[in-house]
Amino acid sequence: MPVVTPNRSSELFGEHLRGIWVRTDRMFAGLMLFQWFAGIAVALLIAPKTWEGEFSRTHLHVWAAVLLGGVFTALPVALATTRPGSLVTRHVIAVGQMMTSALLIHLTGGRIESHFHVFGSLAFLAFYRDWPVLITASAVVGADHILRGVYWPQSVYGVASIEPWRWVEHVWWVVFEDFFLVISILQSRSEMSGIAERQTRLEASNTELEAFSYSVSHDLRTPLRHISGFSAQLQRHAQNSLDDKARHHLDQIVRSADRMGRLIDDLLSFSRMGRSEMQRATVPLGPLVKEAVQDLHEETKTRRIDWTIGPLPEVKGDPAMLRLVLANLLSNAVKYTRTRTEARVEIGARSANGETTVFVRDNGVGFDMQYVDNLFGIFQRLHSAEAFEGTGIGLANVRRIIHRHGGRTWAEGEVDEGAAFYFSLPTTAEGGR
Amino acid sequence: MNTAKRILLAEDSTNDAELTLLALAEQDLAGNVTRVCDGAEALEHLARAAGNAGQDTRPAVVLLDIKMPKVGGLEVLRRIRADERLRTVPVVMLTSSREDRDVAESYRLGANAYVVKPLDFDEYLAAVRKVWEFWAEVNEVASPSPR
Repeated sequence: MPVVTPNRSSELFGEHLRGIWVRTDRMFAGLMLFQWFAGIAVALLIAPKTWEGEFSRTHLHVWAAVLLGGVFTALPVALATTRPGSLVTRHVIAVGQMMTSALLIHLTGGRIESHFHVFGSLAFLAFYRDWPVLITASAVVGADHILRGVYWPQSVYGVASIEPWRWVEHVWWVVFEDFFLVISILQSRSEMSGIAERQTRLEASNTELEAFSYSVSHDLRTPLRHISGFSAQLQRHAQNSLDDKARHHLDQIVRSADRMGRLIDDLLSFSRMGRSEMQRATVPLGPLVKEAVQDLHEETKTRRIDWTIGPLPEVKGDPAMLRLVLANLLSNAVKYTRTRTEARVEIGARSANGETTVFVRDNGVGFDMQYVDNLFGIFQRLHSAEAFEGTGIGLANVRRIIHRHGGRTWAEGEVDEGAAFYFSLPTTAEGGR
Repeated sequence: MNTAKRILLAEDSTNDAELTLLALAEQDLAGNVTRVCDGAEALEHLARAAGNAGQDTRPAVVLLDIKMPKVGGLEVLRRIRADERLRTVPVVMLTSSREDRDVAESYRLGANAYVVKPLDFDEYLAAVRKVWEFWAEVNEVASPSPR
């Protein structure tokens, strides 16, 4: 079990939280600009003009919406743009947002319905998952209700005179909402630290895995090199003093060491395949297949192979990995049709139900369907290495790559009647682990 | 060719050292090899060679394993490149690691070549021959104006 360092854990937690702050700052910048324009629209709609004696002029509310709204919006938006994620920005936004609520309440003549803007704003501020922001916001609401309740009750309660304790009732509802928002913030923060801890553990185990495969790569290969190197020395220098049987055994040692070397290499490439970063690109399969066929030229030039390549679509994925998938499937098709005087290999694709399915079909030696589940396992083989060379890593790599793309692999076959290998990839750019 | 110039082989594994020496022997070079068993010894040897005023006793080429006790090959390489007197000595990493990061780090630190110890002895011979050719080339370029 890898050790979880509390420092890394809190670092990840901090990163996550800062990301949320920055995103929420940006969201408020947009929201507050929208509210500013909406406030002006409300003012224009309700009372664009007023009478002063016999003259008509622009209503004071319109000016209030433009100027006060502008003041309440400008500083928060400026800070959200220049200092996103900082403590000051959050609290200034909280103040600005609550002042905007106050302005909108005023513009609607203190209608009780417009007070709900306060509750909506508090819920939005809870997005920060930083409860002191709610305290700042609530303090502004409380102060506003008390002061306007004393000097201009019409503006906030919509009536000319009110009971002196009316603000207590309003503030109580704010505190009531705050209570639940704070609980929800504390809950999601505790979940976030859980995520951070898991991530730390994952990073630690990845580092361990990294060290493990490095050690495999270096330490397992070293004695193997000695076996192979000194056997070769023996072959060179003791050739004449050895009888046929001894020479044969020596030959077996050399070949086994060689095979183990390849197995180690394959195992490492398989483990690297699972860990390496995945690219996301649009990959046209047609050219990829053409390349894979060309790469097999050395093996196919002396054989009769009838290639049928259907129209192939573009897919989303990692080009290098998908090239490896096709190279593996095509080289298998070529390998297992070796016994045929005329080999047939067909490659095609179809798209349906949100996925693209690609198949490679051959008329080779095929396989028994009862072993189909073994096919994609690591170092699993259905033929002896003498009949068909290989370590059994190819299809394991194919499956791992396709799974990382969020797709599936399967196969159909019959002994001596050929085989067909399929893989599907989601057409939407989902998946990618 | 200045045959007094020597090869410094830093290799902790006795078996590997022997195989390398066998391969060097095929090129008639085994007599020129000084073998050290870890990075610290390699640095000591190099410091002595560099401090030898008047006579150039620096090795013609250093064959460095990466994974060694005490001081690793990459650290030895870094210190060679940081040392005014050793900076120009050709260094060949001779290692069993084929990890990308080791290759990249070696070249970043100024290795002249990176050879992965092959499993096959004939390949090993070919690799050592390449190192030898590289050494010959470097010395020919360097010899008209010894530093």
